[in-house]
Amino acid sequence: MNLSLATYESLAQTIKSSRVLSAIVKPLANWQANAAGYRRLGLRYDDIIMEENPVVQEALRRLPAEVLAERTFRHKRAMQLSLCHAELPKEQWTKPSEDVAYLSPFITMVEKEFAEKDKYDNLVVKQ
Amino acid sequence: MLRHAATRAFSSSAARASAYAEFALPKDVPTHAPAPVATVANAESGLRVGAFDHHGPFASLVLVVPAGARAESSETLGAAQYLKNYALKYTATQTPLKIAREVELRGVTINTSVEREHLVYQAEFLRDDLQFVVSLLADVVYNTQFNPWEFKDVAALTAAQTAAAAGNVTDVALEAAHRLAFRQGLGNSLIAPVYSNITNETVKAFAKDHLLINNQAALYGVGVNGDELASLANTYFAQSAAAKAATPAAKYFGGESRIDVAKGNNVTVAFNGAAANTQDAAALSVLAAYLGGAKHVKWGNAVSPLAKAGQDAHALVRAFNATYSDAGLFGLSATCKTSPHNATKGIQAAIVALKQAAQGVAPQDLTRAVNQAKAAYLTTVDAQVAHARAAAAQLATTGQVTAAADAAASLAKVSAADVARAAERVLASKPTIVAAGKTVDLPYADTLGL
Repeated sequence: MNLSLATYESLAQTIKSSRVLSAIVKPLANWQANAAGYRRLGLRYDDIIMEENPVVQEALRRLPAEVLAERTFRHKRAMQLSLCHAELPKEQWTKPSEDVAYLSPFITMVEKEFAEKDKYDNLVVKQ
Repeated sequence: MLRHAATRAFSSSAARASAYAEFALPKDVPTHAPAPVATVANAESGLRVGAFDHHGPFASLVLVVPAGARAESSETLGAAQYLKNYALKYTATQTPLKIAREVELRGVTINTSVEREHLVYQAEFLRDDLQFVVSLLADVVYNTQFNPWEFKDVAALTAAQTAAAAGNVTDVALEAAHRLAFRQGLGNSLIAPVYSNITNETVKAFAKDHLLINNQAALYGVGVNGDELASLANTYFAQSAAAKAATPAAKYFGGESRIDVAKGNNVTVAFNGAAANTQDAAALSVLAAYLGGAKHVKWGNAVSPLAKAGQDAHALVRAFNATYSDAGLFGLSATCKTSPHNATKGIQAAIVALKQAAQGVAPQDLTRAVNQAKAAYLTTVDAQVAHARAAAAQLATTGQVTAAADAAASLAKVSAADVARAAERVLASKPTIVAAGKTVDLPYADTLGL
């Protein structure tokens, strides 16, 4: 199933707004994020979103230069660690507070634009 | 379309008495086109709103705001051009794609341009889309987001425009003439200079300071209902900004400048002109028409002094009369793509013609000049978007709009003595002389006998 990021975001919003759901899901989510291992390589979640598609390419183009440079640095460092079969020292792991969504807002925005373009490309004008 | 409606009305009245009388027309078909209605009002935000309703199906709307090149400081040179290029980008609620598609669906044409005193947003559209256009312009003025990633595109476009203008010898000379003539303010170039150092923050701050909706801005529609436009202006342009401090009055200096340009040669000689909508400006318009430059009969001989000068020198020689709210620039320019010597000969002959005009103008030449000036003015404002632009600019600076007939009448009032006096007066000011092109062969100021 290929869901857009916007769909996931609306799901996340539903969970966040329900106290019961978030009480169940949040600990699971944190456990999942830590278990996924990307934080041990100093990455953020937005670093591992697949970028080989027009939407994410356009989102990356919109990032400020310094944010893009930091992303590239994290990628290179993680690549090197992976090659060495190593992890960062624990104090350098990405903290949950640092794991911010710096790219996904742009991806959502571009997805909406692409959907809008699709809408206008297939528009039926009623008068 | 208006013309069609009018001819239809007239031909139908003729048809009643003709052989086509058996095609009975309904009784309510008018025999005359309805008279146009001109209105001027103030929106609650202070925005000046004017309309000229010719009852036709196609309309133009122009919004002018006091964010032209004149508003730039030495730190923000070029910001007006960036702001112009930012138009129709992301607003708070619309994407550029949505704006472009909606505009195209409705058959609207919309563009923006920088003038020395104003930033101009103009739209041409079918009469029924007035509300859409007013709401769009308001959205652009109030809600443009100035997204950093869009700035990259805006900066690239601006750089391309600067580069293109640097290759056009006439533009280079005219911009340099303004800089020499007025130095600051009115002297600012319409084109961002190569040394302009504009960031997204500069553009944002410039927009905040100068893209203002108050009594220094005006909205003028041609082919729209004045009451409807005023009520829409109250709805969409409700947010008012404090008036900004008056710009310092323009002061004329003059001087000489020589600029190397790869292709083309131009010599521009300009003088202290007159402010817009004054009788002096009317006299200078007639003087410019008297000097001429264009041939009005395609294969005919040149009649006006500058057209003759151009024919003899193989150059494009013309006179111009640029008028602004508190100053003006009157000038002569000679352009030759290939030879600096031709441009030199052209400008020398033009200066002789101007000096002769100061000695007196023959009555038949005055008649030609007045008629050509009137025709040139009326042809310009006959295009409704040009009409709307001129009216909006005047409305923003003076709060009133001169009817085309009155402006033409002020040209008709100009006498031969007025023209000679105007020529004498401009010749008395310190000349502004710009040589652009292959400067080594272009004349120096002291060789032109001024």
